[in-house]
Amino acid sequence: MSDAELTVAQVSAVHGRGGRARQALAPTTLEIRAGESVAVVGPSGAGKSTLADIVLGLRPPASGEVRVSGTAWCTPGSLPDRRRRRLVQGVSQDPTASFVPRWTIRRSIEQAVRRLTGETDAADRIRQAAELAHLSPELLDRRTTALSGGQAQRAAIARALAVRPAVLVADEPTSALDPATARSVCAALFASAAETGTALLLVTHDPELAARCTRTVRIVAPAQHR
Amino acid sequence: MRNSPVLGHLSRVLSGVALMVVAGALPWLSRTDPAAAVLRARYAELEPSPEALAAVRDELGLEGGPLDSSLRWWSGAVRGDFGTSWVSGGEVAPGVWRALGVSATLTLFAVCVALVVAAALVAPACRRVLRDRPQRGSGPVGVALTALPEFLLASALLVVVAVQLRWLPPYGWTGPDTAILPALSLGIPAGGLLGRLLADAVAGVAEERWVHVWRLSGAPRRVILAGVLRRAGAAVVDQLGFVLIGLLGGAVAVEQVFAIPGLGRHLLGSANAQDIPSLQAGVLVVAVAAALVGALTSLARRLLRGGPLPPGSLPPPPEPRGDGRLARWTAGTALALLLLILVTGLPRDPYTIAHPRLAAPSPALPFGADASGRDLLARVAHGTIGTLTPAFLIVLGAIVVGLLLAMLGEVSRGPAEIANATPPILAGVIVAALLGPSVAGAALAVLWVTWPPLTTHAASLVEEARAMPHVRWLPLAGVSSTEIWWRHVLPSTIPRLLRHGMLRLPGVALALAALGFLGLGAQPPLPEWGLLISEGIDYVERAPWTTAAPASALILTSVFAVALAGLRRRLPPNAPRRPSLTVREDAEVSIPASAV
Amino acid sequence: MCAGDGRRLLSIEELDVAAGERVVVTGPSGSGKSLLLSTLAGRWPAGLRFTGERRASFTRLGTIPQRGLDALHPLSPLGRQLRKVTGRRPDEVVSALAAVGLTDPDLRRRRPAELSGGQAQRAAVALAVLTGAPLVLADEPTSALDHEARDRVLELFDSVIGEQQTLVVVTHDPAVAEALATRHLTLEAGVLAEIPARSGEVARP
Repeated sequence: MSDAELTVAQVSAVHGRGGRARQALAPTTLEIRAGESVAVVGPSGAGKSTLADIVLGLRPPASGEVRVSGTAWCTPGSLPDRRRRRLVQGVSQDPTASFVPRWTIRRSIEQAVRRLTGETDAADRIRQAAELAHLSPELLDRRTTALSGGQAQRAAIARALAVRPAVLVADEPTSALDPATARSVCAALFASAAETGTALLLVTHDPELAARCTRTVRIVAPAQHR
Repeated sequence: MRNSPVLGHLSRVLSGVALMVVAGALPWLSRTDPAAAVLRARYAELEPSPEALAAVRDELGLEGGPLDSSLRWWSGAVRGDFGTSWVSGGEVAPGVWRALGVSATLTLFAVCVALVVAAALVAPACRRVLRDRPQRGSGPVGVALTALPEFLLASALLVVVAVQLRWLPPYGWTGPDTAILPALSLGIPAGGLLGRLLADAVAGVAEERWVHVWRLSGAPRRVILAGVLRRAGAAVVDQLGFVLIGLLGGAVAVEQVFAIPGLGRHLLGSANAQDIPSLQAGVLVVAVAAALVGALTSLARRLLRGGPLPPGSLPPPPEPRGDGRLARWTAGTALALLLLILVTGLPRDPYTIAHPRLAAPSPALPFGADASGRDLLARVAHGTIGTLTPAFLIVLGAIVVGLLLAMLGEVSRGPAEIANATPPILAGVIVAALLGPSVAGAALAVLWVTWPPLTTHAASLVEEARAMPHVRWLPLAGVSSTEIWWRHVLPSTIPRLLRHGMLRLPGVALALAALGFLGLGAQPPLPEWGLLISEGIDYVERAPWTTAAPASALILTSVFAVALAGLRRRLPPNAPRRPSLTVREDAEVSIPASAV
Repeated sequence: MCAGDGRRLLSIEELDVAAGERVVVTGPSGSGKSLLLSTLAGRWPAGLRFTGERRASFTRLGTIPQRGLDALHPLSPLGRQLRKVTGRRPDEVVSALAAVGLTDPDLRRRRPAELSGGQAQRAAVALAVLTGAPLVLADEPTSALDHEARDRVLELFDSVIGEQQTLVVVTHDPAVAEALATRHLTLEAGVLAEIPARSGEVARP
């Protein structure tokens, strides 16, 4: 199927080197089309977060290939080109990961928009993204340290969507939140992805959350050598 | 790639080869024309005519490049032939073996003293483990024992015990009684350092949960104590190497003070006479000794830890409680007294001979006058500047080197290990032999031993900064890796590295002073602490103040250094503890003030 | 019993624990759970004042901490350290380790620093069993484990810890109480309260 926004083909990962190397992710294959959402579930240690890192282009796979919008994204030897980074954005378990601590939320988003899209005036995009993520605009001028967990996670979603990515990766986006906040952040996540037609890859251990996705992909723990 | 272990091994091998080439090529590297030096030494009456020089060159085989002379020397060295001395013209080897015998005996005695001192310091902590009492820090006794650099302790013992009390012979190597004072001067600081490290580790380990669990489980006391000692030993075993290396370096100074014909004195004599073949042989023997120390340390590590562990699986033991306030007070007092000397002495003139020779201290001359009739207060105060300024530059240089090498990763592994195994005094001896004694040469030597700990720390700080979630995610925002370095990793690394460097400043100053004392650093009439002490020591019976004044400044610095090292373990109140991040176990090696 | 440093941190009218009971104490963080364990163990943190009486008739105590590694010397091979600490025979150590699922002889030779979190937790259970102590205290024994490992450790608690050994677990995880408790207590702001066994569910012997 060539119309998939994201194609993960036989991607595996290895931790460590030489004699200490162990497989961190067994070969995994999945596809997501625009507007679809796919949940990745599996036991802890199966490499769910490793898969998220590979799709985000933060680490290269040990084998296989990731394709985004039909073109190669990352392969064992290479990470994605900096100019194409716009295509895949993410929301981490730790919302502070998306922001430089000493910058305001607005500045972090502005910097990302400017670098990734080349647009100098990011104000419109920021406003729209904040709306999509259900983030009240006055929070944009704070730093992450001054936000609650739920607010910070919404800000992270806004930052990711501000550059209009083709693929959004959410790695356990609610695991650090209390149940009520988690529900509202999830609602914002699903709604905004659906509204923009972004392909959503959701890494989670929560069956309820997985049930809300179009499909679920279960990854198995890699064979242990020891 | 920058952290592959293959690169680390490659770096070790290459550094080893480089070291061997440099050692073999020392005569060629020497700044002075060896032919002229030999001619001057052997045939003082001969004019250094081109013909005569050429004849000498021919005789010494100095033609050809560094690789050539290096190969020639090594092919002789493996057969036990170290060449002929430039000064005496005799064989080098027999003298070196004799000196080695003396030094080995002295070291053996010193190690015995060190073990006794260390055991005495660890005993209270062990008793508290056995009796299940809360632990405390190692306390002021341990600090006091480590605060005295060997050359100072040696001078003090010489003056008090041998000269004033006349209990033991002041110098020479004629019988067991001549070994007592040198062994004490070497062994007390080393044992103090070892005991303090171990006692602090025992105190920290005793607070670990498993000790508590074992105790509740009804484990026998000796089993608990054995477990605590093993764990504490494993935590400090890497520093054991530093202590032993410190012993090697300290031996040079102690042998000089007590006129013991050991390896240290041999090295120093060769350096002063620029007798490079003789120096070469001594350096080779010391290098072998350092390699033995390294092998011994890794054997001890293997015994205590039982093979390599996955990284991060062995957390460092918690720091013992207490002694923070005491350390702060000690550091504060020492600093205040130093500042007082500085403020009162700086306006005075350190060079003019305006007073009676060896004038006693008086209100007008608080520290008295030296043998030439110069104001000692002024000389000590200006010596502070003369000692601390190079020290400051050395620390800054080490930080820059550390950051650069931290970026290169494993490439720096080999040089770091070699530099770590070099006592500063030995580095000073070699530099002085090659470039002639000078402040710059001494600074270069001290820099050589200062950069490895800062590099290790820089590497762990860089690793920590790169592992921070927001730095890891910066590529998503389209930030290039160069920009991540400059705008995000370095700014969070440099302040902490600067702080670490400043904590090393007093230790660096002490190392410089030790070189000055041995005549390898600043030259007269420059006021520099080590030099001032060595100038005063000849008059110590008639005018003890000539040594007392600079020595007390040095002791204050030393106390300041040790107290600071105690303070460093406490995190600033608002620094977040990040136990999830990987910090190398050897990230911060405490300053062995006496390892100069 | 009560302990406090000016403020009253923990006040217990009376707590009697019978042999063989599986007591689970749940409560939010800061409610005094750890202090309760210290009280039961008879070791209070420095700076606290203790009033009341602690009647206990044992000298040995099994302890299972949050991370199993905390109960073990990180460098001493597992089999040997269990033998030394408890003074048991090698075959007893082997069978206790087998009972917690650590049958591999290679595991006995490993140092705890080389074990996984779940393995270390099992080893800690084995240590508690081997002490033969009448009382075993567990402090959040499952909070560092994922769901599967947690369920396995809870099963172990029930099957391995002897009939004559009393188990007291403090936790913030209600699932532990459901799986394990013959008696369920809650602790809120230092006050203990009993939760009666639910009707229809018979307390296990």
